[in-house]
Amino acid sequence: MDPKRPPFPGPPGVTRMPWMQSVEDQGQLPDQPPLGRARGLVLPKDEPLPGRGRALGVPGEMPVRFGRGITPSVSEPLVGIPRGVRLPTDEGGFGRARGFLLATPEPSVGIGRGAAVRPVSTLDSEKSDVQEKMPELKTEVIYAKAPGPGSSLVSMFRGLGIEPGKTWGRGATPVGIMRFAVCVCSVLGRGFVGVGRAALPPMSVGRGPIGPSGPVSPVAAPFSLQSAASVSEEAPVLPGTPPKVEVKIETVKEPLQKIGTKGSPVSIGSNYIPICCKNEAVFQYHVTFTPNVESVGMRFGMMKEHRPTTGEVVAFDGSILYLPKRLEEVVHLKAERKTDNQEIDIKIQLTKILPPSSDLCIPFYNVVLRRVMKLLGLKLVGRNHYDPNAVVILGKHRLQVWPGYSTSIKHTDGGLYLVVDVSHKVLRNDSVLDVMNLIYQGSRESFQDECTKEFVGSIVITRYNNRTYRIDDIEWSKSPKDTFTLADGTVTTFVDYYRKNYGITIKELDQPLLIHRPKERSKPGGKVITGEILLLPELSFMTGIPEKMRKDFRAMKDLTMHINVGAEQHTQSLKQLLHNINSNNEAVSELARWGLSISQEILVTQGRTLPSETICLHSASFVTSPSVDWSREVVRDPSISTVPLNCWAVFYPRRATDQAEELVTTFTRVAGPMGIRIERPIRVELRDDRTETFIKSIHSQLTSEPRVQLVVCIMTGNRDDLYSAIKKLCCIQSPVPSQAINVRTISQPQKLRSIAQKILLQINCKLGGELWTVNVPLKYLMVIGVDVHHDVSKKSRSVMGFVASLNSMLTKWYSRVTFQMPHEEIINGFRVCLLAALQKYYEVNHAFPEKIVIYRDGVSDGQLKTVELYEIPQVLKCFETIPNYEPKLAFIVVQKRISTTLYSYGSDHFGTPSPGTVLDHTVTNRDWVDFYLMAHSIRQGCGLPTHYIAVYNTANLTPDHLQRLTFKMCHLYWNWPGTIRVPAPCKYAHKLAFLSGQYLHSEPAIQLSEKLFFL
Amino acid sequence: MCLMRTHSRADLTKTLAMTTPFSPPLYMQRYQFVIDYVKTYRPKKVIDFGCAECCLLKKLKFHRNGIQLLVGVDINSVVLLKRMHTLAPLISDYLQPSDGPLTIELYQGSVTEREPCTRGFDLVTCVELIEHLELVEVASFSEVVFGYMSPGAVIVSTPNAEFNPLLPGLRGFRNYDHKFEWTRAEFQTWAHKVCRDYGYSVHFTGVGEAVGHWREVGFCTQIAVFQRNFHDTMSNAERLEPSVYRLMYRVVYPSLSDNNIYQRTLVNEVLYEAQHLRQEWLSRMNMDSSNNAHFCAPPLMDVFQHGLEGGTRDCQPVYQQGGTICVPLARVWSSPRVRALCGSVQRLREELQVDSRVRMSADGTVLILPAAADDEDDEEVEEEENVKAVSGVANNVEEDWDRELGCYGNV
Repeated sequence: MDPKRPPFPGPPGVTRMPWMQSVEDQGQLPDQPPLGRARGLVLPKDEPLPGRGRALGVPGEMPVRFGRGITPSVSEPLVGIPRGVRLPTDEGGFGRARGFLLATPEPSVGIGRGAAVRPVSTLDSEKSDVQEKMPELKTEVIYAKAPGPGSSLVSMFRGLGIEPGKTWGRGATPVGIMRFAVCVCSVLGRGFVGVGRAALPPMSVGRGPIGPSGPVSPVAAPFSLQSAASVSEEAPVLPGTPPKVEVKIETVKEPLQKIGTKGSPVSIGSNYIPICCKNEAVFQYHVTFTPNVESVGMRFGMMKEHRPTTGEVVAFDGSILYLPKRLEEVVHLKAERKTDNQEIDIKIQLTKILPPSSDLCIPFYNVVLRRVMKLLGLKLVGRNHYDPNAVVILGKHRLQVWPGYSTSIKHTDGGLYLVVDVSHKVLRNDSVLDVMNLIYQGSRESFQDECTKEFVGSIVITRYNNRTYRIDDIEWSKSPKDTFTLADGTVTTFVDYYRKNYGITIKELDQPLLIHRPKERSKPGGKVITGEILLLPELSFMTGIPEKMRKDFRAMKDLTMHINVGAEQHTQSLKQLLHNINSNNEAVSELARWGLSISQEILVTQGRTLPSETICLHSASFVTSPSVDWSREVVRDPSISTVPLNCWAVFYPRRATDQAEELVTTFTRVAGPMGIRIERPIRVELRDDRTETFIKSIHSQLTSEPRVQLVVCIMTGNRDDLYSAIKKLCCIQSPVPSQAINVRTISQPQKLRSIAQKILLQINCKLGGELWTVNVPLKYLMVIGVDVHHDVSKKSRSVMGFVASLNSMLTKWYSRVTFQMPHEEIINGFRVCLLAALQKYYEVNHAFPEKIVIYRDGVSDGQLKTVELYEIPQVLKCFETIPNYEPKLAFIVVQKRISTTLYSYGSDHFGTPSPGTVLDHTVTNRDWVDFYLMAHSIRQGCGLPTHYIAVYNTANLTPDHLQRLTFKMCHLYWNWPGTIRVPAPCKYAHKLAFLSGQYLHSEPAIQLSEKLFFL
Repeated sequence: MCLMRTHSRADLTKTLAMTTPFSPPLYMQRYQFVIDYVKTYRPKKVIDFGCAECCLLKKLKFHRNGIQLLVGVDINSVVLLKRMHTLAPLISDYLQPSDGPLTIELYQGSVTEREPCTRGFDLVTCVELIEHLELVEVASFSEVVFGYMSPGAVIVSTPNAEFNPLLPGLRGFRNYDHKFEWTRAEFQTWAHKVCRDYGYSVHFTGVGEAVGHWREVGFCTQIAVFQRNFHDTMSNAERLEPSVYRLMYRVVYPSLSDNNIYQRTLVNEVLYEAQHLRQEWLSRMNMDSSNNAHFCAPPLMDVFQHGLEGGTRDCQPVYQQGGTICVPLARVWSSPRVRALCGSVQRLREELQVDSRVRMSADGTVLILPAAADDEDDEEVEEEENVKAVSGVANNVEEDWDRELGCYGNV
């Protein structure tokens, strides 16, 4: 083929740029059968198969991607495909087809998703194609096609395109991971390999129904273009790959169907600021140096000399170059290597034309954004920027609150947005050494233990730079007089090092050193960072709220006053930032280099408030009030079911005798209306409040009277050790529901009644009673909540809490706990828990659940793929162990810690949205079916919704179902007569995991698994 | 006009360091030379010409030794724009403001231009700069720096051409942008002429010595340190706004010499200390009060007066008076932090008396804090909100999602 053939018949005009088209006319071609789209099939003989070239590029890596169907990896759970696909040949065909790009410049040509129906025989010819090496110039025009609703095969096979988790894992959060050298004029180098990889989260492949029956997905499954495009990108990175040209145009894909209709429309504001891209496109080039130049720095230098050609606006990583302008197809430049005067040929080859909102651009847009924040005089601490001129000083507590922003640029369903959240950093005037001195004054004997408790896990900021470190340990055997080795091999003492480099004289020569153990990661240069970093307490400032202060209600009030800002203030700060950006000429021109401009206005759009739910008690039922609070009703009318308290024991130290007496009396008074029968308890007065006294006494009581249903302990003061001991005894050793009460909470007579009512409700739950429910119109449904608790000090293992509903009313819960290795988020014990829950469900209902909805808490965006590739296959495998059992499954990830904020909007005024507000478009993720729901009512601060992502949904729940089911589940947390932020099973799982991880350090007894003993 | 610094000093010497093992690397030694000079002579105003990546400025910002004004000048504004933020105050500078003031300014400009605001400096550094100038420009450089600016001292460093044969693989100049590289004699001739013309005296030194018999070629980098022979008249002159140079960056560091910052820091320390003493007293009271011995007699006034400057200072007890807790100033004064901030108890009293956040007794000997200690209005926010009792089943139509799903499944 003629290598000089132009990639386009003509320059790409507007009509040729699919992303310029409106969504409507770009999408579906319903009259075109899916088959036709599968491949361009008949190609002129002299036209190379474009897909081929790509496949060749990375021979080492390809087998995984392309040969999946061919290799025996079919049965690997990792991939997650095998279930869906019974015909391995089809799969192979599919896998390849995905990679195929058509060499026809016809915009109407689509690409194969439906390739599964391709004849098996082609497989062999494909394979031989792969073997050919054809360095050729190719033109590829890719257009996204949304398969019509009828193409069930397409959606069925969407699960196939998944790459192994390792390859993509990182990529899922392009923001923040990639270090891009975006250049104004000179390039600061941070090489990175695989921009493509980082930008790959758009890989929307592989979600969606993989059900064996191949059900129709309610959600249109658009073909993910990037998946193909990105593969090609890796090819040039590999050295020795024959140069080839494939100019591709990245297109915008069709959004997923995720918009519901139920509820009443409301105006909703959010902390998303539209970004306008003025550039028509961003051009991606591949740069090769011949002879090869190893040093990335030298590559930067050489490119820098050619600014007249490339222009001043450049993002270059050492081999991939992004420019806002179009160069010739191939540009050859000359440079001289300074070290040996060797002439170097620099070849700049256009590889891709990206829409300016492409995910590949977002990493360097974020670099630009960081520079803008700096221009505004904001200081980078950790990942956020803070304003040193607006610092609030709380002298009384020796700390400072720095107001600031966390910002990032995101490409969501609605386009490109700047997401701004108001953030506060708490910094302390005290160095670690100061605090150590205080601790020493307080307790000399347990000094080291106290220090470990206080410091390990906390974040410090060093005096000589703005870096933050997590303290992982304390090195008591070392001091600043000790030596360490610098990068260049010289050995120096800490004292000398700081004096020489920073002019700092260390005052305390006998302090221990703090240890920070960085996560093992390889720098872009390939250097692996390992080992410990030692820090000086004297030169490390504490950050964050001191533990002591956290317990001090009054002090926290001083602090939260500044930190918890309401919607009004929140939007004010956002507007202030937008104003500052747009009125700063340097900032505006910095953004304009890449054609970006940030709006002055906060996003306002249309959301919905879901219909109110009906709460059902034993016989009474009522629609929730707008404030979603039914604390009155639950104590006035009988609960669904109650467990009579026939035999129970109260333990209290002598000084709490009066309070204990009062409490018991109040219990009997308030129990009636709730429908609880309560007998007089066994009262055990203890001579003191030592932990040992409690434990001994409880133990002997339980042994002498095995009928005891409940242990109530009245404790004096906030005592973690006592609490832990009681819980260990009552949850593991001698399993019995237990209730610990701080004497202070029952010391105020005027509040005692309502406190007693609450405690009694809680006790009823712990004994196996049922309080209230809402109607979920789905039969044979099991709802599961999962959460993982990590110990901050990293010392203990992580704990997974698992809670599953056992009955149709969703009032019986089965709970399990498993422990896992430190910082392992992936749920290994999931299968065990799920199988046990299914078994239990069968015992109760004499049938297995037909639909299972799993709410999985604590998964970050970057881990979504792992969930999809690892956890969901585990779940599916579980079902296989039961003969003829194929339930429908919906797997919903629950994210609480997100930067999205919702405001209500009316008459030019921002406020807090009402409970049940849902937003399922514009700010949502392009790659998943997701929505934001604010279920709880807000008393203080801002409207922080919870993000729900339906990672998997063979239950075919519609967006409306997903949203309403989730909202319903938020009504069912029995410790709170109102709605909460997350679905009740998640909250239960969280409570359970926390109790087990923090206090029990072991699995609770199986006898308690059907009771909410952990409330 | 062409003070070109296409390559940073650091880059250049790093490549050299690979071949000639100077340890620490030569560029570090040059910086160290300047730092040592600053340590000895303690200049207040320092200007660095050709500051490029601002490495020297960044070092001097740490090794201040009394520097109050630190200025960098480079012809390349891009590199300044890129690096200027490395000179911004650190978080710790806000957490613990330094004693002395510091202002850092960066200008785009050339050493061959006369800029009024560069006059009156104590020290001018030109590290590896002049060899980037054409020889004609060196003359105007001399005139501008020594004649016009006439600072107290000038440090000029430049490559020693005689050393070049020892650098393996080196052909021509050490950097392609070098316009010349002088021998020691050439450098000294220039320097002596400068001294004659503008009234300076000079001594020569350098960094990077060869070993053995090669020593006689001299230092790898030769350095001339000029001292002005006449007394300066401009050092206290009013700072001018730049008229020729372009100001790229200016930052004033937070310091205790700023009265607001001083006041704030002091008051915070005092309040923290007082609060601490109050808390201590309250918990002690709680502990030994099984009964309610609330009141502690106020100390005798004469004892108090004595104790002020005497050794019994620490014995000044905290006491309660009505609804307030009184913390003697002397107790607060005993805190080393407070002491470090103000030299005498008189000054402390004066500072506190003008601050609205501190309540003091009329004679200024006692700090008054509220006693209302732990009245813990625990605020478990008992929402006894009037929830309208909406009882009875709502008008909700029976829903059946399964049926809906069934319909959907047939699509």
